[in-house]
Amino acid sequence: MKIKIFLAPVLVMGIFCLQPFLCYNLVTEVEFFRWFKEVTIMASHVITLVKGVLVKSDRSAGCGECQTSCQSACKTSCTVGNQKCLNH
Amino acid sequence: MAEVSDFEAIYQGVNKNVHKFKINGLPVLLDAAAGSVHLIDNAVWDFLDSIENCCGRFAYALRELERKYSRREIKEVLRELISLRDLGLLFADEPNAEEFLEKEKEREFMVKALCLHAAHDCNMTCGYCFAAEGNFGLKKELMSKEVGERAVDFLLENSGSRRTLEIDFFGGEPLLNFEAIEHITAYGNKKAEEYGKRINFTLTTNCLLLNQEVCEFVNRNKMQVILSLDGRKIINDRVRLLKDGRGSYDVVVKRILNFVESRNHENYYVRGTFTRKNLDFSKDVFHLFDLGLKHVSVEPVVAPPGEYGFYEDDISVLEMEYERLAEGLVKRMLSGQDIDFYHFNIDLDEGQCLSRKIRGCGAGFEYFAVTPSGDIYPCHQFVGEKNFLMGNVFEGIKNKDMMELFRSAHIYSKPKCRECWAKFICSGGCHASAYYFNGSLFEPLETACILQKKRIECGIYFQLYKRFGQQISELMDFRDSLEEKGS
Ligand code: SF4
Repeated sequence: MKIKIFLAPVLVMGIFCLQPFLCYNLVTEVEFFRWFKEVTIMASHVITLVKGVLVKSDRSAGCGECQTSCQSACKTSCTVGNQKCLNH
Repeated sequence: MAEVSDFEAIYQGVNKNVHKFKINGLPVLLDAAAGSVHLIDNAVWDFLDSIENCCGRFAYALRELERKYSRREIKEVLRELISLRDLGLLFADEPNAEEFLEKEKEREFMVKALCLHAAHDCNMTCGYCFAAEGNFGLKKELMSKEVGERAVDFLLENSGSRRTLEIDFFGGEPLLNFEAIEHITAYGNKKAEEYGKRINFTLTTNCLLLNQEVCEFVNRNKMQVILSLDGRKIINDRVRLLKDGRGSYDVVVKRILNFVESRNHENYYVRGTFTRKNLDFSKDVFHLFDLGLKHVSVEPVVAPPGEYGFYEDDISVLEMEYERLAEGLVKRMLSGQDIDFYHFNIDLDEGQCLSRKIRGCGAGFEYFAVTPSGDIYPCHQFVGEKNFLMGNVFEGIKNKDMMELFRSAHIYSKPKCRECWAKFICSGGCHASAYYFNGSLFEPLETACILQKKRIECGIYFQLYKRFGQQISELMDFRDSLEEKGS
């Protein structure tokens, strides 16, 4: 009996301490949904994760300030997707 | 039911830049022209499959689909695809390159980057070296300070309106000529300032001479450094040998770890090569990350089929290995490790301008290699090829036709690239491998293409996980519950 009385406040304290973590999970999940809905387009068969930027002719000429492919970590194969555009 | 024109639109679309693939079970749909990435379910997968294969006989495709899906479902899929098209997110039109290419012909050439061969000599004897132990089949030589200065002048004088320029110290082993490197860097910085420009320096080294003095120098000058190491000791030491025949792993790893520590793990890549001897190269990449390195680039050897170079049969093994690598790296990243694998760095958000997308490599018209005696070649891989000698740093480029030839080698002038879904990300592949294996700049090497496409798929897979985390695998099941919560 004594032990039970002793344990009750410990339990209450325990739940109290854990509360932020429980809430945190809930909050991040809700936030994730919200964020997810913003960055994606959901339909029932297709989920658009990246909306992308069209390859536009009007941005065609370019400023030429970005790195030359073969000039960096790779000396034998080029992938343009690797090169960051310095204008963004 | 839907209009035939809708089917027609999809039929035209799937045969352009739209590509679907599964990496480790994740079904992805990419439109490389729109730059969009989607997750799709089985119904869309099968739908696109049958449209793609029906040769325009849509009724036949529909009948095939009806064996598996209800009419309602098929209609839904069609509606979704069409609405994505209307939003510009799928089946996007290609940009008008003709007009751009016409205009480009009138633009003057602007040199942007040089690969300075500071030393045509090496203190190692790696079995697969395309530079033939450092001298590219030419005589052993170190670049003099005068040639270095002239190369800097050549770069600045011919750089037109470009402000950010690049110089890569390459070899052989460039640190065999450290004194000249110090001199050229100081000269380059001073001259660039006079021109109101900036030169970014890179050093590619086998690390044997990477001592305290060199570390301080490259850190002070904020040079990007590429450090060569192939991975596991047993793999590295089979090929990357010291002059006395011993393996280089122990000494190199020690130097690399000290060095990256000295620059706070920034601005470097540890670069490895895999060959026929380690088709299981993912283990080598994992090994490099296990050493505590954060920036790693490992790529296939450039060699004809043989002891090191790949045979056609090896390619499917390598493709599977890339998938294994992607899966392993995603796991590590999700467990909190910093992972930067060069070939999976695909920029999903902001694409490059068209001039960049149609021609990835600037070799031969904005990027050149300079030998120790000052000769100019289209890139480091062409050095020593007499037909490709373009001029020298004292007299400039004499062979302007060669410049025009390299500039004209882009995705629209290579028949294979024109039809390829990966063209806006790959941008046409490596000129040197096209030339050496197929004898023409306009015909990319097939095996390289297969691996390139696999790397792009794996890179997209990796980037999706990087952005959306673990949730991505649950998304397909999530979808329904998300819709409920959202409504
Ligand atoms: S080089 Fe190969 S992979 Fe790259 S765009 Fe051309 S055909 Fe496609």
